[in-house]
Amino acid sequence: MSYLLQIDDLGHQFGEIVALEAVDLSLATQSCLAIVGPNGAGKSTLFNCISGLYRPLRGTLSFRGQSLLGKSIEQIARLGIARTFQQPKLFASLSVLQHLQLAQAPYGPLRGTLPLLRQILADCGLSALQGQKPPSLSFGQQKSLSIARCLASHAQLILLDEPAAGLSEAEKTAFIHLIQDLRTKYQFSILLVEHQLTIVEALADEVLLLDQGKSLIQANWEAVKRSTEWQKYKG
Amino acid sequence: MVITLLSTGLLIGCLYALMALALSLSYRASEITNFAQGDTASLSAYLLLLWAMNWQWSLYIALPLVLLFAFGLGWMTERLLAWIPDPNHFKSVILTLGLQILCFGIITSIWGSEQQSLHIFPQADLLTLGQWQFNSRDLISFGVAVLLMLGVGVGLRYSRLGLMIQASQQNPTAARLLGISVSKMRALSFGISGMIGAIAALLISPIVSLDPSMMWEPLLKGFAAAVLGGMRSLKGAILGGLLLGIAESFFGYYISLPYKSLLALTLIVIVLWLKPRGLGEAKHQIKL
Repeated sequence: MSYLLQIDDLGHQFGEIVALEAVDLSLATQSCLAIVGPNGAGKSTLFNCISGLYRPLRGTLSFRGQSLLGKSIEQIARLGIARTFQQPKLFASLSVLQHLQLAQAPYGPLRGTLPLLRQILADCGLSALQGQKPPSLSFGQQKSLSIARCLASHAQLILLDEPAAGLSEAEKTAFIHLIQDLRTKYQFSILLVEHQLTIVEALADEVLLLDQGKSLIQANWEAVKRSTEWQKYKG
Repeated sequence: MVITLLSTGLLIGCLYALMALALSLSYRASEITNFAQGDTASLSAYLLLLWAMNWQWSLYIALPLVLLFAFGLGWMTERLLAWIPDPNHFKSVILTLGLQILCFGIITSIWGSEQQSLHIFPQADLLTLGQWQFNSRDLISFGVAVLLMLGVGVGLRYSRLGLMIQASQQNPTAARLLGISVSKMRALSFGISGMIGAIAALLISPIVSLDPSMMWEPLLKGFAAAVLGGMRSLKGAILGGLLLGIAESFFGYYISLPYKSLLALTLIVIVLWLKPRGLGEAKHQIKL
């Protein structure tokens, strides 16, 4: 079976500190894989390696059959990998609509893209805010904008880094529905780092348990919960 | 008299604002003040002298070529800055000063240090509006400067490249994660600022004549204006240029003409002391 994202024996370290020792992961097209594990397990380092912010020291990393090793951050983004952060990285001087135009900008002229961008804004519940700038948005709206921007860039894979952190209970429920609806409509794949297991349970098709930079098990949620690795982790 | 002083101040302020805009645009892209900005602009003006006056090329050919040259010079400045091994702020500023000296040396070795005239504008006529009189050449300079500033503002706000330049300047990593080539956007910013500087030099040339140090004072005033308005704020830099021009005009008439240039230097010191980020910068400092 060919996977959208395939990672084998990925390793990375900072000086003497080993952040990733041996990570193996496979993500099928249009599926959602959640990465769970304790703080310091290497989740953020893994995201940074996939998106090109760090250059892995060992292993292989391929997206749609193409190696990502040696590619720059912008080359990886242009291949169709977009990313959100726990603290949304938005541009203070750009409006909500301009954020989406910006996401399209590297791929060609902006002419004719407005209907699609307005549709994305509507799907993300941001239509009424299209002229607003990030400082006037709530934290939840900023997170929605980060996801809308990923959709505008036509990403096939979106890396969601703790998307529910800082959201209220009502916002979390709304967020789960939003991602479920968007996945059905735009058919993208998700790699999710999330500490809140209710979010993982609601969104993930499979779960990868990561600890001390090593992949322990990748399976569906029920199988992971029954595994000895999970019992050891929870214990 | 007040109207005359105001209009004189606005005209010269527009030229300062152009230099401030050029400096601010490259500063936003690199956090480096490009001190070569003035002499690269002078070199462009001298090239126009060579092509349009000495070689008698049509202005319609010579002018676009000069602007292209200025753009290329700005682009090359950024590439040189990017190639500095183990770059730091000090090395970068030294490089721009080195380029400034190089351009000055090229001008003096080819054209000498004598003043020269660049007659690219039509003969100046005096236009009368009620009790006020205006020089047609000044009005053209004013119009070109205003159109250029508006064009840069609109381009940055609404065009595809403008959005990418803004994003690259505000958060380079976030821009790269969207697939934007930040190094190209930086070079583009330097290219555009080189072109703006060259246009400022061409507009100033009928006022001061061409000489190798013709852009030193405008560069200093542009720098003062950019500091006044906030180096990272384009609107602030433009406003700073206009305010400085008007303030100089009134200072020169009511207080002292010979010492009016000191005003810019005094302003730099006062602003850096009291409000180091300038007057127009605070608004977009929010970290997200």
